[in-house]
Amino acid sequence: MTLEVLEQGDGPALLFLHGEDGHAFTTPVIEQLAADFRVIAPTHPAWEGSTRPDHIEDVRDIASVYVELIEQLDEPPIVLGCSLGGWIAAELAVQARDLIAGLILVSPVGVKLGDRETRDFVDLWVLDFADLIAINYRDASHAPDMTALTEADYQYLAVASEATARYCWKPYMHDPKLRHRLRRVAVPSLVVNGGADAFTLLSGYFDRYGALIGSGAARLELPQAGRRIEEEEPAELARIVREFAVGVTNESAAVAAGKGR
Amino acid sequence: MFHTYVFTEMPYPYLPPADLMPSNRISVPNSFYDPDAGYELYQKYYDIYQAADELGLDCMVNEHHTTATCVNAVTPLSMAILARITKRARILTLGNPLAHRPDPVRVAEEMATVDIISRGRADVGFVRGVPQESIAVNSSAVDMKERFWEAVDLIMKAFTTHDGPFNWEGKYYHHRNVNLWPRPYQQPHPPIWSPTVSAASAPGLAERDMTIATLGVGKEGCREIFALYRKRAAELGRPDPPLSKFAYSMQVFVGDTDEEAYAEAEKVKLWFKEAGRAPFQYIDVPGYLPPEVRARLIPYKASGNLPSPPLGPGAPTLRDVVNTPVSELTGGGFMMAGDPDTVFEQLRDFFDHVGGFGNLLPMMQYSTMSYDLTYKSMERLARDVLPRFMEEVYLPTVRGEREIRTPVAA
Repeated sequence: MTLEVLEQGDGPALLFLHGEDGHAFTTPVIEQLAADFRVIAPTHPAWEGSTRPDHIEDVRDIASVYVELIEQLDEPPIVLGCSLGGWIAAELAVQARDLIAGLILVSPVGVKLGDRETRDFVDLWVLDFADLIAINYRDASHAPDMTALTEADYQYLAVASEATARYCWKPYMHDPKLRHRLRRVAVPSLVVNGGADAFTLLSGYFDRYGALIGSGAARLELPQAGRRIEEEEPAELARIVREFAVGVTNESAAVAAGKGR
Repeated sequence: MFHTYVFTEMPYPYLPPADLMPSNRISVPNSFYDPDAGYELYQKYYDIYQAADELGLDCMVNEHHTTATCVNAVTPLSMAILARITKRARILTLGNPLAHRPDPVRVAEEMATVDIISRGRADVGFVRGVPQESIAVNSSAVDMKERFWEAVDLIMKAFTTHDGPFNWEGKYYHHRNVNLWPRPYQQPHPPIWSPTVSAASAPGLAERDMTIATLGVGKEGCREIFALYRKRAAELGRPDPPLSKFAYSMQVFVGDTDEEAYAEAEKVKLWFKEAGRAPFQYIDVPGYLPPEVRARLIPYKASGNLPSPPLGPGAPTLRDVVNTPVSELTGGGFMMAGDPDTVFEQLRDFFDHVGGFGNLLPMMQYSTMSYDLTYKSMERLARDVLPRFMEEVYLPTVRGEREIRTPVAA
């Protein structure tokens, strides 16, 4: 398979896993992150740039591709995933618990916490365009001007939309088994969400998600942010990741010191 | 033999006004459906089919889901009813939405059962379904063509295997014991049909030797689609496909006078609007259209200036059709309307323009159109149009006594 992997910056390794729109709008956040990290940003199989072999059918399969990717790195990376990328990151943290240094999920999907008749998330595929913008951004004026992109951009987004449906149609935006496996995560973890996220319907979703991860993930809610924190608040997200990385380093040092005694 | 398969979408015509309910599909609450009215409607629709049978016509059914303008959600059921209440008509479904049916073997069982009960009168259509169905039945449109063709392969093997169970471990379907009881009446299997409004799909249907049906694309669109089917058959070294392999569906009304028929046809146009009333995103389901087509739609969606979809290759859009006078629509082959002489001429011209075809699928009832009016139109068609068409056009053509200009594929 062809796996497109963008690399930018120097520093500790950071695996950045994109959300539904692929890398259409990730340039600013990757630039911010690359000031402190060696950002490794693959394009998921089926998004434009990466091929999808027939056997890559679900998010677990995507994560297994990234297990192979991080096995080739010199050091365990911090894994950062946004939305669908957060789901993939969580799955990767389960599959490769000893190969990563930390886990940051930003507005993640991937687990179903409501009952069978309660939606956890808005149904993306029955919304009109204006509503799609409204659920993804705190302020619609922060959204890219979708009337003024290039033909190549439109093609990229159309491919991304089909790829999202491929992995997220049914069960919708989750794997029923993931919530039972998240306890295997063995690294420092953080779940970040925006207080103005209008996509996630279930009250307390991110707190409950975080509680399922390992012995409990740290939590951070940005009251003023919407769902696409990486697009609307890239500098703030980069600051959060930096701070998290310091904590990871300190913890690793403490563990190493403990082992040394 | 030329076949004329009468159909109605079995509409529930008492629809909420557009300002109250912007969609007639998916989201319209069934509180708007009155079961008593529904009962009366089903009586009417099956009476129409029974009358078609008695008039020497054939029957076609189609299905949509959570769609007020087509309250026939399960065509195997309506076929089963028709198998018992009709005596001679062929019974066509267009059809089984295979990519949305979880178990193709169940579809094979249903179709074989109808074929036996009707003593070999089933015509089995396999359809992709309109994009809205993906939402209605929660079946992703991604890879649906692949699922569709694997389901076709499995059903065809089920129809034609008679020496005990076979195993199927495919990409999408798994069966350890396929052994069809009953097997179909028609041997080796009932005629297999598939509809398309896309020129790109025509060669694939030719490769499978399926009957190709095209719907409402007008005579230019139909001509292109049929020509591509014929071209592919020729490339495969096959004899020219018989006319029975070609079908066309459109709205038909035969009146006492042209004026009466045109007035009815104007109402059909209004019904087009009702049937098409649904938010754009319901027909823009990911995976249904190729990404390059959906890519071109994004700026229109973003600007709120949504395009009206074309009805087929080179065909006008739904919006154009609704705004076009009936006289032009009949000329373009988008509907047939007129007195018997006029409709005869429209049918003859269409037949010649598309290189001949053997199956007309007239939608003869829509909206609130009554049994009596539908019957009158069907009777005119059966008695005053089709016999003349057979005698002057179809049979002489089949016998080689009459030339039609076979179009060349684009």
